Amino acid sequence: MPSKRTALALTGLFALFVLWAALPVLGLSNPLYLPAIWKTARAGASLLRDGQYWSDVAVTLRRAGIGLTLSAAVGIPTGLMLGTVRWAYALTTFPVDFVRSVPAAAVLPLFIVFFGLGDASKIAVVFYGCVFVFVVGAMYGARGGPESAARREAVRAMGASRIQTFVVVVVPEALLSVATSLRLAVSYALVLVIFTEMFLGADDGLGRRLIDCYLALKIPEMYVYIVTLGLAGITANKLCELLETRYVSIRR
Amino acid sequence: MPMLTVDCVSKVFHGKNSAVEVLRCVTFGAEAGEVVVLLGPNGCGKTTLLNLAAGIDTPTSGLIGIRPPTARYGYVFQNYTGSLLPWLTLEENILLPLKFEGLTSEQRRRRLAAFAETYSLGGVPLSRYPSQASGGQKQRACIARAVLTASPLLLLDEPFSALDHEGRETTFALIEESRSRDNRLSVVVLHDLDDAIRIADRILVLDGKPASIAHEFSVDLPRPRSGDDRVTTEFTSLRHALMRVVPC
Repeated sequence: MPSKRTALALTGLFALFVLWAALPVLGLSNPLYLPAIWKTARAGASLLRDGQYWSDVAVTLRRAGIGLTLSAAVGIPTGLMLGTVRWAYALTTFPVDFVRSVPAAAVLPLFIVFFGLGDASKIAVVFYGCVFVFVVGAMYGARGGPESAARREAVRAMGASRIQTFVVVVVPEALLSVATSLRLAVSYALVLVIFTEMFLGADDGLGRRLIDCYLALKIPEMYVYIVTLGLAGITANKLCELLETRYVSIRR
Repeated sequence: MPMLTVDCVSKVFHGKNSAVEVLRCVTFGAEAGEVVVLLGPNGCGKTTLLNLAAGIDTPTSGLIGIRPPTARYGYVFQNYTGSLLPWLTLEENILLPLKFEGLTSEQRRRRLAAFAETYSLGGVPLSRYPSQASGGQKQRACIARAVLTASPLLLLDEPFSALDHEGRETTFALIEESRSRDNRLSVVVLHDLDDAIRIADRILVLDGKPASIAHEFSVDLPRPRSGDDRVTTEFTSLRHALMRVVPC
């Protein structure tokens, strides 16, 4: 039996679909901009049978996934190190703040020069947009709050070395803010990969298909791709939530 | 040479615009197999003194020596809840110092099992996380964590503050056993005079601003001691003597 929260969420989704169905019927929306829900559903059914659709979904998720993984692999250890080693933090605060203040869109031409128009430049943009989210999250997590001092003192009093203190206290403490970073970075990764596929000369991917539909005025298909991206975002966020519940929140 | 030497130790805490001198020229020595109790009013520097002895903090002047210098110590913090790692179960928390000593998982569990035979863990829910345990259960876990190590020095900061009667009695017995069987030195911060008399070989009373050792009492009552000893003449006369000098 679904919980009250699930029931409410499903009711909200159902109400959204009802509203979508009602607006064109009531003449409250232009069918050119907001096609009837059944037309969109028909377009969706047709796309789902098409191998190209699934290939585009896979390509987009692969680019976002690789960029996200690389940014986590570089950003989390870097952030942990900066949060733990005081001189490293002092040395890098200004450069890190400067570089992360430059929007990902602004470095797009630079990445085209470096990596060309293939997958590498798209992944690089995702990496650039997400890596500092991980760096900042892990860094502040590793620096710890007022409660951290007591834990670190206690562990040092037990005879822990610096490395043991890092593994046993610093890393678990940082997990909570790293989990928050992950949620933010997942959303950024999707936004950035779609953006690069739209404007960085891609031949495939959901971003490319959205632009194609826009140019050909295939509005129902465009909505199908938009809904697909929404579902991908929700699924990714739910996965993050599950990871957080399993490995972070329940123990605090 | 005593096991713990505190030689004219002073401590000043520096703020942004001010400095507070908490301890001034505190001097004492303590031997293995001794129980030394520190008494004094709130804020007089008892916990600071334990932190200095533990090496968590450094004295502004003076020297602290532990023999042998590499000796480990078990520490029950005043903020015992904050000293537990919330992402580990109570059992994992208790066994953590043994992990740092390099014992294998099997050796750690055997040590805990042997310990639990002599020291009742009093319903400490070992498989639960600290957030799922009561204050008393957490404090007992912290006491077990400190005593379970092979450290020759125990630093106990108000170790009875959250314990019920059974927990207090068990912990009294544990400190006594650490003294008599393991020849450990225990330095204990307390507020209750009866508790102090019951476990101490020596009582040091800190007083003044900045604080120093204002009075020292030797407790020569026969061991083992129990709660019933409180009505004896020697006990009550010592209590009266302490009441005259311990600031309320």
